[in-house]
Parts: sequence; C-alpha cells; structure tokens
Amino acid sequence: MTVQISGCFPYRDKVLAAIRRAKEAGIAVNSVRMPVPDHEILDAVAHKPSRVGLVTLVGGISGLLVGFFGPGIAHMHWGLVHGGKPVFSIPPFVVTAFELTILFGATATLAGLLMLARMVRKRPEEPYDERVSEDHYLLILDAKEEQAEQARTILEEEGAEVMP
Amino acid sequence: MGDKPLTYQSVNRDILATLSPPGRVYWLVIAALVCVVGLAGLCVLYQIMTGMGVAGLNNPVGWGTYIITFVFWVGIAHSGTLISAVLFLFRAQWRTAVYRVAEAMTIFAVLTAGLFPLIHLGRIWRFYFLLPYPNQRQLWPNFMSPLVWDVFAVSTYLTVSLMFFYLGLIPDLAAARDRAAGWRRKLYGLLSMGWDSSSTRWQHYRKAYLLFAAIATPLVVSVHSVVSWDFAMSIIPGWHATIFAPYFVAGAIHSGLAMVITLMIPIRKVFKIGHIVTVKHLEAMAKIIVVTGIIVAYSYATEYFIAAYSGNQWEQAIFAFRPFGTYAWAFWTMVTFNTLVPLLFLFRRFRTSIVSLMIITILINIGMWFERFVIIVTSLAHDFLPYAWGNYAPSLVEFGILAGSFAWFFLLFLLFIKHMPSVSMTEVKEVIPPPEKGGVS
Repeated sequence: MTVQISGCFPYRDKVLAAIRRAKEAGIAVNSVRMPVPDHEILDAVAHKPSRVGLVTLVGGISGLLVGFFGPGIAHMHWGLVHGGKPVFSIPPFVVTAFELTILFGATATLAGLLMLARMVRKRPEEPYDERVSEDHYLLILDAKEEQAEQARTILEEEGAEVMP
Repeated sequence: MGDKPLTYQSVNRDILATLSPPGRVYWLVIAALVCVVGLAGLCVLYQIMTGMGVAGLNNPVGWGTYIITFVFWVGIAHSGTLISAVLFLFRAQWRTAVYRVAEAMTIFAVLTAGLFPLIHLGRIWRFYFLLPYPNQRQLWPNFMSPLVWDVFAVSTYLTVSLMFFYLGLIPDLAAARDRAAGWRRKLYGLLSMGWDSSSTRWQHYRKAYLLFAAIATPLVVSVHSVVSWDFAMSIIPGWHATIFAPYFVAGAIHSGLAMVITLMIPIRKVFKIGHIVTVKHLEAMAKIIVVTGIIVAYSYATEYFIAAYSGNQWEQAIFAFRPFGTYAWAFWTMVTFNTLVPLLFLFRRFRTSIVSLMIITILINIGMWFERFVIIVTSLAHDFLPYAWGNYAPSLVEFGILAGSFAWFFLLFLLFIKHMPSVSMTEVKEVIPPPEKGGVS
C-alpha cells in the first residue's frame, strides 16, 4: 500500500535536494509539477524516455507513402496524361510526398503527445497548486505506509508546504 | 535581458497584464479595421457580381495584385517558423521573447494569403476543384501542376504552424487559467486541456516540441520554394530560373523579419513590456535582416548575370525592360528598399533606434511587395512577341482588396494580442535564473 505525499516548494534547489533525499531513502518520486521544463529536475526524477518520436516516425512514413503513391495511383487509375509526360512521373510526386510527410508527421506528433502524456482533461490532475504555473514546485512522492512519516519529514525539512 | 531583473513572478505578472480588458482606443481601432475589411468584402462581392473585368487584369497580364499580394503574405509568414523552429534548433536564446508574435504573425499571414488565390479565381465557389478526393465527376487535379503543389504546401504550412503555435501556447494558457476568473478561466481551462505542468508531461512535451521544430524547419524552405515554382516551372522570360526557390525563401525571411519588428515595436510600447522584449532582441533581428538583404541583392545580381551569360535574347530583353522600361520606378523602389536601405542596419545607431527600426522595416516591406510586382507584372507584360506586349495598372477594386488584406491581418493580430499571451512566459522563464534559496542542503 502506497501513500501519496506532496509538498509545494518556493525554491528550485530545495526541491532538487528533496528529490535526492527521497531517492536515497528509497521513496519513489511520482512527479514534480514545475513552471518550466527544468533539465536538472527531469534528470533527477529520471522518467522513462518519451516515445513520441516513434509516433512521429509512423506518421511521417504514412505521409510519405500517401503523398507519393496517392497522386500516382490517381494518375494511373484515371489516365491523367499531361503534356506528353509519363503518366507516373516521379519528380512532381516528390513534392506532394515531401509536404504530406511533414503534415502527417506533425499531426502524428501532436496526437502522440496528447495520447502518451494523457493531456486531454478538463482540469489539472490532483494534487495541483496554481502557484506551479508561476514560480513554485510541487513534489509528489509515492511512499510505502511505513515510509510516510519519513517522506513528510524530508519535505518539511527542505522547506515545503506539505499538502493535506 | 533588460534594465529590470526579471523573475518568474514578474514575467507572469507583466505578460498576463497584457490580457487585461482593453480600453476605448482598442475598440475604436478594431472598428476602423472592421470597416476596411467590410469595404474589401464589398469589392470582392462587386467583382463576383460584375465579373473579373473590374480588376485591372487582362491580356497579357493575367496575374496582378491578387497573386502579388498572395506571394507577399506567404513571404511574411516565413519568419514565424524561422524564429520559432530554426532558431530553437540553434538554441538562440533571444528568440524566446519574440517567437510567439512571429508565430501568430505566420498564421494570420497565411490566413490572409489563402484568400487571394480564391479572389483571383473569380468564381470562389469552384475552389474545391483543386482538392484531391474521389468524386462522381471522375475529375482529379493535375498533380504535376505547381498550383496543386501550392495547395499542398500552403495548407500544410498553415496546419503545421497552427499546431506548433498551439503546442507552445498550452503551458501559458494554463498560467493564464490559474490567474483568471469567470468566462476567461473557463476558456483558458478548456484550451489548456487541464495542463498541470507535471514532469512526465513536460518530458513528452519537450520531445514533441523538438520534433515539431525539426519537422517545421524543412517546411520553411519548402513552402516558398513551391510558391516560386508557380513561376519558375513556366517558360516565361524572367521566371524560368533555377535560382527562384532560394531567392524566394531569402526574400520571404527578409520581409517576415521586417514585419516582426514592425509589429513588435508598438506592442512593447503599448503593453509596457520593453524590459522583456528589449532593444537587443530587435537588434538581433535587424542583424539577420542585413544577411537576408545581402542574399536578396546577390540573387538580383545573379539573375542579371545569368541573363547576360546565357545569351538568351528574351531573357536579356526582360532584364533590360525591368530597370529602364515602363515599370522602372517599381524596379528601383525594389532595389533601393530591399538591398540598400537594410544596409543601414550595419550601423549600430540604426539597429538600436526604435524610430529607424520602424521606418526601415516598413520600407523593406514596401520593397518586398514591389519585388513581387516587378517579377509578376514585368514578365507578363513583356514576353516573347512585341505585338503581345501590354501594360497593367491595378484598379480601385484591387486597391480596395489590397487595403482590406492589411486590415484583416492587423485585425486578427490585435484580437490575438488582447486575448492570448503574446510573449511566451514559459520560454522567457527558461532563460532567466530560477528561484533558488542558495546552496543545496
């Protein structure tokens, strides 16, 4: 059984110290809500790497195929002959393939982000403190029942306002 | 970054203050712009009801103000992606204060540009013929035509720019939500999709943002290249040149950067955010304008060299017609404003003076509109056979629609800056020191 304990910090260095101490004590860090994507904090928390890139790749490849073979199939199927050029002419289809690679890749990136980060929701996930969108940091710890008191102590000692 | 030291709190406070309810002057300006847009709408309606004869278009100049203005606005759109994507990849920190305005400008400029092929079409409702979809008429667009590539390029550019813009806005919309009340809180809450700034979401967000920047970068190059092929793929003298793609891209960035400075100057003054968007930011853009101006000058010179060196008499004739023919005034306006005037930015005095920045950037954009005028009109007016030559002058209807396009652009822009954070709070905060107590315990 784990207990979620969170504390709101006014200082970045203090939240970093709390993360380190929590990890040393074997307490899991759930996440940190922070005003900007801070590299040091992200490294300290060490989440799994994002797989948005994979979704982008799938989108980009789909766009490439649709953009190249879509016009090609239309030209072949309907016999679209223009200016005596080959019906399936590669150079013009490279342009449509290029554009659709970008279009599908970008759309997939946005869709991938919304999906993987589970971003579409009505209101922020709890616990949340409105000060994090300005200059505060909210550290959320997942502590085992027997570690709960220790987790609370770490947060308090580092100057956090422990949330009820 | 300025005289006043910025803190996370002051950045939020100062930028969110720009969203406070607007005063009477704002609504008066909005009303004036709506009137001009309405007037342009009436011009379009008159053209539809009367026919294309009300425009100055005729043989041999069948492309005029509408296509010139289309290319102009697509060009303006360019620096938005340059600043937001390319400079992001190069880690140019100064972009943080200006990229939101540049991105918004991109979207509004593309929305403006997109109107012109429709207006030029005359029968606007026939536009769907260009869209590729299986239909019972058994008709397909010609995928070998640069005009169809244009549809793909411009619509991709609009869609990707819009998504990139929205992605950058999400954390700022959440900040606006957390400080707003009433309907604004609901609106920002809905738009920010419950963003909670958690490290897991930031992790995905940063990755997606980087990918978007990487994807959007080739788009900067491709869109205006495709627009240039509308001309270069034909055999008209003065158009059929391989330099057109890079020449158009450089010109587009040149005019786009100039427009960002023109827009940024009144915003920082009116909203009192001169300590966030400093003269240094404007100066950095002015430096890039010097580079793009030199590239544009080089392109002009290369066109002349190739015309002379190729021995092609029609090419030589058009390049003699441009500086000495009927439209010489337009040609010299173009050369002076696009290549000579920007060189003033070589002097620090001109780069750091708000007045000179404003005047020079406006002149550059006048010059860039005339560049498209010179390219399009002179080549069509003076092609292969002397008996087919003819001149073009825009009609009042075309002037009305041109004025309407500027009003439409500024209207969208004014609505944006009062309802959305016009400077990225998140990215400005990323380049200033975070709140620290001092020393990790």
